[in-house]
Amino acid sequence: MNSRELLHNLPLNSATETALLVVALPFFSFLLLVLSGKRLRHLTSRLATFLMGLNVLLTASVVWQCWNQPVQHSRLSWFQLLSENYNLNFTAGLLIDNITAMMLLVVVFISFLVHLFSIDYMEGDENYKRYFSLLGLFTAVMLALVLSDNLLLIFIFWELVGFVSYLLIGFWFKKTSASRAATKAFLVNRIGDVGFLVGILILWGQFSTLDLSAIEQLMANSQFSNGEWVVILQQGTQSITNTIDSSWLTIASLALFLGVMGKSAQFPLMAWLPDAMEGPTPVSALIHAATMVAAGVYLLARVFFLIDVEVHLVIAIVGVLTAFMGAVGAFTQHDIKKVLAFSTISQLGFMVMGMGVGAYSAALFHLMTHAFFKACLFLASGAVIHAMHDVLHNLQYEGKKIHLDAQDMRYMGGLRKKMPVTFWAYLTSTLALAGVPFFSGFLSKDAILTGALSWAKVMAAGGHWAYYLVPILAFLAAMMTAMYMGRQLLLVFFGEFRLPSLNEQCKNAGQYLKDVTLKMKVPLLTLTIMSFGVLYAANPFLKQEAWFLSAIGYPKILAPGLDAKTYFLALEQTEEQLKVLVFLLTVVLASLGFFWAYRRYHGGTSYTRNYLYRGDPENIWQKISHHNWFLDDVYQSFTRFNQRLALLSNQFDKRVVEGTNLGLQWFNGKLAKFASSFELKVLNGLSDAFGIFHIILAHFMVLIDRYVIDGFVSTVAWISGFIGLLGKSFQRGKVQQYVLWTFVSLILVLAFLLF
Amino acid sequence: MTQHLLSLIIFLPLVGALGLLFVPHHKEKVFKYTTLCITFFQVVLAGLIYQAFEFGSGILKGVNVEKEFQLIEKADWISIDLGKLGKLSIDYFLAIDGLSVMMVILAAIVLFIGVLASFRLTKKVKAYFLLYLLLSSTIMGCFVALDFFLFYLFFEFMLLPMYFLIGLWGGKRSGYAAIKFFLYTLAGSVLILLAMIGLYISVIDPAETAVSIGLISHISEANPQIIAKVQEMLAGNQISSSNMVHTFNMVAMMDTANFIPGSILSTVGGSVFFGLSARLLAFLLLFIGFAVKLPVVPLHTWLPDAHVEAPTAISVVLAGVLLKVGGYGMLRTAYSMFPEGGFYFAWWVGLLAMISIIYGAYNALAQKDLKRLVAYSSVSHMGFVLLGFAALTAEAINGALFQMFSHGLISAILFLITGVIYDRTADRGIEHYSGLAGRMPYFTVIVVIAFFASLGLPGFSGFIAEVLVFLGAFSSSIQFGILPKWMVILSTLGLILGAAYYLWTLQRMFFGKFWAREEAWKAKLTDLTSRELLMLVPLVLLVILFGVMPKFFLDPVGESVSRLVEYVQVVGRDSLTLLIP
Repeated sequence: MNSRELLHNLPLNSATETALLVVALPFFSFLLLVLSGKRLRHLTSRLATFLMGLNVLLTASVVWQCWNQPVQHSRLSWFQLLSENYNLNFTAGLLIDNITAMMLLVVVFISFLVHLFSIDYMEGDENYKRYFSLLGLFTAVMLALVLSDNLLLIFIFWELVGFVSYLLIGFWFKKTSASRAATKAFLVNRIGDVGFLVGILILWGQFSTLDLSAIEQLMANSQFSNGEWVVILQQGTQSITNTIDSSWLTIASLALFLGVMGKSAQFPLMAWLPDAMEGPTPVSALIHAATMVAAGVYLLARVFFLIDVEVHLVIAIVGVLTAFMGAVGAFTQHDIKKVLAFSTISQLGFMVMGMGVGAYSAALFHLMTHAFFKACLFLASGAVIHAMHDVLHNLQYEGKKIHLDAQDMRYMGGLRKKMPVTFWAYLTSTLALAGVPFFSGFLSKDAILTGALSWAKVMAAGGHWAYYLVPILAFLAAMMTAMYMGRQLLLVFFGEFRLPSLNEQCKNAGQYLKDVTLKMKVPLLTLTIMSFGVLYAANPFLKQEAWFLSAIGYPKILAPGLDAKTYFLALEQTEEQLKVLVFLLTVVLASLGFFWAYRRYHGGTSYTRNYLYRGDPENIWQKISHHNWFLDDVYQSFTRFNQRLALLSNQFDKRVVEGTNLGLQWFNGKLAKFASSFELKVLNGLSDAFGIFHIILAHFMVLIDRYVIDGFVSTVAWISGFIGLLGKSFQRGKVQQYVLWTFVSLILVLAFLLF
Repeated sequence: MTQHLLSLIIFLPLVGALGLLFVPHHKEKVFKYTTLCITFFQVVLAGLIYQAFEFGSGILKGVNVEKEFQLIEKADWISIDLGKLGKLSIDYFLAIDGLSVMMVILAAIVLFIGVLASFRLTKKVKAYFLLYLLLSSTIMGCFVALDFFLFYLFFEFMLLPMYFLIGLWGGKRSGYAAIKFFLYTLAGSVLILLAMIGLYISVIDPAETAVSIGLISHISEANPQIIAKVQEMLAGNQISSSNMVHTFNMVAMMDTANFIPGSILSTVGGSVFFGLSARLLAFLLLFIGFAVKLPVVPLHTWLPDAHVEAPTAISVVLAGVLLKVGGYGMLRTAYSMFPEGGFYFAWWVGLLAMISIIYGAYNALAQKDLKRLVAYSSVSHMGFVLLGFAALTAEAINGALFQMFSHGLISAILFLITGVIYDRTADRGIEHYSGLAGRMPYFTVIVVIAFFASLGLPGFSGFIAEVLVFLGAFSSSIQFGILPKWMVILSTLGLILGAAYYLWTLQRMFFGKFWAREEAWKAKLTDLTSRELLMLVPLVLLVILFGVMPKFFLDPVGESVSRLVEYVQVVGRDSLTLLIP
């Protein structure tokens, strides 16, 4: 397959042109805000929001043009390394299929709502403008990520979203915890990114291109035999055969998955996400719930065709472990946002597991529904935090000295009376998250669970019952979702408002509690509507009727060892058998979960009554939950290990490398001393001896002269004396004379050679 | 004027320095502004060179074909008839190809910024700027000289101003640092000198030899047939040794047919020392000689000392340009003249590269002095250059050259950043500050950009460079198998560590509540001045420009690299089979 033909330019068409505009608009908003003056702060937020609103319309037009249409692909050469023998073309392009269209819609729509919500939420912050400019930048690079047609571009925007996320987590950089959280998020992500890069290296080594559509064709033509992976490339006139061990496909798949694990917070790279809640809450809604963290799942969908089939199992296991561990982590948090963060980890685990068990479209479906209801939950929690913040602020305004965390659920309770809109939004999206029928989450989660169970049944046909552990853990995690969300709902919105009973100063706190402004209500209500199942399937009980699932369909599998057709056929048939069972199980488990939560956390229980004074947990199971399986300690010991290594290598550098230098210096010093003493004693001695010899000789001559030949011989004596003196003067360090003599002798030698 | 652009860019500062010699030393402004003007003219000249440089036609690739070089200036400089020893010919030979053109641009830019960074100097101003001008002449000379003797002259002469600039205007231990720098580099040059003498003895200039034996009457008549004939005669031992014109012409040294059969470095009947062919040994000599400059672990210890002690502007020049002379020299001499060495030692070169990357990064992680941290990060980043060389694929060499260029710009920003803090408080301890972002917002924006550019964030030039190196290194291991895959994969650790030391520095120094160790510093820590913005902003813009449009770098460079790679692949393999059957 000729690489020039594979990578030829594809011109822009109306759909991709509009898509380009969709990316450019938020970037323009970023530039505009960066360059605008400080005085325009109020205008800037409205301008950014307006541009994003415009972008929603543009995106709608792109989706309208591309939905269920053939893939739209435009591409040009970004830069190339050219010669007669090879053509390494680094292309850049836009690719729009149904998955891209879905992602575009999710990103732009939620970004718009978050912009709108932030206008009032961030009001009064000294860095108002910086906030909105970064939101614009994030939206631009996130959109570019989902539109990119090749792995290098995806990697580029993948890193850039991480960078903007870093800036936004550390938005309040004066707080040490925020800057630490930002560093942690970037570093943990970087580990994943390096994995992604290694995957890219292997694919590049084999294919000499990173364009996904080209890779797909080349992968289909790859041969796997005798444990070797052979790719034949046509480069110009040459034909190149690349052969490596087929285990490198496994390594590449694992490496790419490492990238997914970093970005989508999968075990064990998940501990950065709860910390990332240090950022402003609307940012958490946009970046750390709906869009960026889902990019890992998106990447997995994009490269699914080349993922080694053995790695599917790894993906399923990591996914389900994350789903379970995240759910456990959500149980004992006091921070309203941390509960949601752990829940996000858990839901991302569901999506990744879905990919692993072959429930490809279900995983993407869950990505979409989750984006909306989780964004809703985060914005609603933002509304609660905003309200609590107002309460505390008002109390401080009264002159009362209280410094409390506005995100702490221990001070909340009973908020539904004063904040009805927020409450209903929260309730609806909680039901969606817990997977209750009639709500969006039910359809997608049910689809994933059906997929998982069918997969286990198909795989276990050979007698390996252990495959069932995956769906069992998944069902458990699904039940736990209802449990911890029920807990949060009850602790925040039901019972009594606990803050006034904290102390005398807070007694009148209740009077300041009020629901959010209109600019914040609109996004909340919009997202609430998006949480209803009816939007996604005409029959809210039947996920098979969801328009989205049929639009995505089945993925290709081009890695050896699995025939996609028979595999998916078997899965589909099993799903058909199991669908009623799974439906009943999901409903029962969700109800059980809510029931348990109600029994334990409704207004009258001792837990709720004493919740205000509850400290960090003491029993080991709760500690595991509260401290997220002590992953932070693992990270820290890893960090400490690296710091030690750094210190060690620094010591090494100082001592050993420098030591050898010093040793060399010492040796040279000795050598120099030796040379100078040699010079002093031996050479000088010799020359002195030479001189003295001549002087003695001269004197001797004089004696002879005086007594023997008188007049004639006295001339000889004079000459000898002169030579002796000359010899001495050489050794007395008169440098200029040295140079002069060297120069003279050089001229003499040259003259001798030349003439 | 285009004919003499290269001479102009070399000698302009030298002439300027001569003129300034007659200005009384107390007129400090004259020195500052004249030097600024001269280096600015150098930038303009570099721009003209970039404009005059032709690429894209596939005709002017340079590297090992003299006619394909551009802006050639060639004149007889020294020719002596040595009787039986043949004839000695040293040319004044300047020219550029893709390997050198961007280095000239980089040098001009960095040297200009360096002058701006020296503007607050008050001590011995005259001597400083005279030496600075001398330095800029010699650096330019290094990048454009194609006669080994001339190159070596410039290369050695670079040492002198550098030694004084570090030693006289540096910090407390500057004397020690300057001597260390001097000795290390000198030791390296001795090795290069040895290889150069070996080359001189072994290589003839076919065109001049043709004149000497009477095939043609003037060099201008030389054509490929004549040259082929001379080479054929040489191979058949038909030229008497007194008629051979020995040359220092680098391009002639790249053609194995120009080596006198049976001479030390010939592929046919060359000498063998300790069981190693003299050619491979010569590769090693050149490699180590330039490795000191690059620097490669374990020859790097002069670098942190020199950087910490040198004044800001000199650090900028040192990291921005001088290190690149090492990389450039390695490619131009060691790899071009003895390509078989590149194959033979690839494993070891790759290992050294990997060690430099990881070891440099770990050392940076442990530093408490910001400037030392940046210095060690340079060691780590130059490791990527070496990894690219080791791989010998088009992507990798392009990437390595790009890495040199982009590191030149980025490290210049980084050292200017350390200078900004040092100028205010005379202290660079990372732990002595906190929360600078609140006090110096514009400065922090630049710092964040520079740090992220240096840790390889996409959108900045360093990313493309590093990715190309990695891609090339990996495909080298698949296509030629000269680098093991684990080496490449392990080298990516450098990316994580790079992020770690920069982010921790940001977190400790710039974020959090504003604090400085000494109360007196707090008032001094003000945001950037317009002069500082003038130095930093253009560099930042360039880093972004080349990151988004790598074309601007890779298009002029790519063709020469492709020639180099093809030539190295073919000749290197052929010679290696001759040397090691």
